[in-house]
Formats: sequence, structure tokens, C-alpha cells
Amino acid sequence: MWSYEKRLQYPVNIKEPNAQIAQVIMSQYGGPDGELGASMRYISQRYTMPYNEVAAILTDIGTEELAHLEMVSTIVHQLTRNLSMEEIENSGFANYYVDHTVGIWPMAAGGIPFNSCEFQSKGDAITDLFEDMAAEQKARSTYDNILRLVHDSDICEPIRFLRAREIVHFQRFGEALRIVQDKLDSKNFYAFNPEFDRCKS
Amino acid sequence: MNSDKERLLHEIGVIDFVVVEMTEYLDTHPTDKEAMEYLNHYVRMKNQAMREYAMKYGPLRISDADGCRQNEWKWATQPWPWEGGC
Amino acid sequence: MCLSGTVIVPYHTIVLKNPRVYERKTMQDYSFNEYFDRFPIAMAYVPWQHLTNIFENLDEAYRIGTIFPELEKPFTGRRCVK
Repeated sequence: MWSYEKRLQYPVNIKEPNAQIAQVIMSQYGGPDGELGASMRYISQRYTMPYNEVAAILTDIGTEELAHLEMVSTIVHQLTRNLSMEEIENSGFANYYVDHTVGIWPMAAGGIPFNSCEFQSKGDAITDLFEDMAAEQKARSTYDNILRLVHDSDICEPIRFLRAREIVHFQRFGEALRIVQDKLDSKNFYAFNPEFDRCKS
Repeated sequence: MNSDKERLLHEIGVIDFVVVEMTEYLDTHPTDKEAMEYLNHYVRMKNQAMREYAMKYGPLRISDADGCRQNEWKWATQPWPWEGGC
Repeated sequence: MCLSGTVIVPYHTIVLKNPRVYERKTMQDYSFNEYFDRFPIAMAYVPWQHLTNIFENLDEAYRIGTIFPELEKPFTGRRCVK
């Protein structure tokens, strides 16, 4: 189960509201490669993983992603909490505002609401770890895209932190895959699905 | 502005970050004894720092709520992290 | 670094006196034949990280986003259009 610490993993203190940037950063909350999807992906995949070390890394990274979605939501909140009606009207934020005011609701920048189609939990150890490695690269690419767009250092600093975490997580999932590979027959890694075809011994 | 409070919160951030990084490393390197010693050192520091913060400024975890002198339930009434400052 | 109370005592003096390889060999260490036996095709392999270095300045490591220098890969891209 989970416990909560009343602090952010990395500080967020944004002084200037900016509705346009908020809409873009929202993608790292509820978008296809965002932190909410990442967390749900890893936490969902861990139940049928037959290797304890891999279940551990899925749990621990899945938990860290919850801390990240909190940071991203905080960035969006601090960028929008003090918007004037003029800023809302002129920044293209009116469509979100009419349904959510300045509340926080997970969706992609392009408008698709968060949903489970944004991740897969295939129930196959090798497949799921490749999914996880791809997810970390997609998140990193999204942060690269944000860093090209944003120049406010209050925003860039926590974004750079989040981006660095994706690279570390990629390495960990790669190592988890090596662990799975070591437990299978290298002559044919795909002979069976260790999550389904054999019992955990 | 309370600089001791900010300093302590920053140190908790750094210490906990080290714990998270080393935890994830150990998940995939479960027999690395040096890493485990390193982690144990920082886990102890984190507990010490969290208790100190709770005693002086209010709990960051419910499990530290007994460490505060409180007339009110500070966990709920003190500011929340997304408001800025932590 | 700190006032009374919590002090971050760096651990680097205690560990990593003898940095060593965690796993037996990396892919590059294998001869041509061993490489193909150890790492068959139709699969991808991520090299193991070995615990060789940790940033001494942990405040800086926190800002960077990792305690491991080998995993620091900052973004320096910018769009160029002719």
C-alpha cells in the first residue's frame, strides 16, 4: 500500500502564470506518454511478473511516477491559478476553462482525456519491459520538446529533473529485462511466456 | 521566511532522492553490498531528518505526527506542497 | 554545510574504495563467437550499470536528477531551420 509525504520530490515555485505553457505541460500529466500513464502501466504490470526483482522495480518506479504526476500537476496549477479572464480568453485556454475552470484534470495537450489506451499491460514479461523502456524514451522526448518551448527557469528546472529521471528509469527497465533474459533459455527467449505458461516456483 | 525550515526541507529532499536512486539501483542489483550500506546510511539520515522537521515545524508523514507538539491537527491545517515552498 | 540538527554526512569516504564490475563481462569484452552465443539476435540488451561513481556534491546531483554521473545525459538540442 501507499503512504504519502507532504512535500514534492523536487521543488516547484513558479512566479509567472502562463496558460499556453500550462496546456502543453498538461500532456505530461494525462497525455499518452505522461506520468499518470507511466505509473498505472508499471503498477498494473507488476502483479503477474514472476520475478521478484522485476516486481520490485515496477513497484518502486511506479511509485516514483506518482510523485512526478504530483509535480506536473503542481506546475500546471501554479501556471493557471492566478489567471485573469483576459489571459484565459487570449491564450486559447477558454476551452479547458469552460469545463474545468482552473481545476486540474488529466488530459493530453491535443485534447484526448487520460485513458487506459495510453498504456499497455500485456502480461508477458519481455513485452511489458520493452513497453516500459519505450515509455521512458517517449517521456524523455516529450520533455525535450517542452524544453525547446519553455524558457522560464522556474519551469525548466523541475522539467529537467523529471527528464533526467526518465533516463535512469530506462536503464533500470533495461536491467530488469536482462534479469528476465538470464532466467530464460537464450536459444529461444520466446518459447513460452513465463507469466502464463509456467508456475512461479 | 524561515531559513532553517527551508534548509531542512531541502536536505530532506536531497536525502530522500539518494534513497530513491539507490533503492531503484538495488532492485536490479540485489546483491550489491556496498550499495546496501550506502542506502542504509541515508535511510537512517532520512528518518532522523523527518523526525527533526516534524518536531520543529509539523509532520511530513502521518507516522511522524506523534513527534509534534500540537494543539491542532497540523497534517491537515498546514499548507500543502503544491501551493509552493516545498 | 548545516546548522545543528541534521547533517548530511557524505558516505563517499566509506564506499567505492574498490570500484568493481558488478556483472562478469560487458558485451564489448566478448570475442566474436562468444558475443553471438551470449547475446543472440532477435533480442535487445541494455548494458549493466556498475557502481563505480556517485556524485560527491549531492545537492548538485539532486538538481541534475541522478546521483550517478554516468547517467547524466543533459538535453542541449535546439531547432535549426535553414
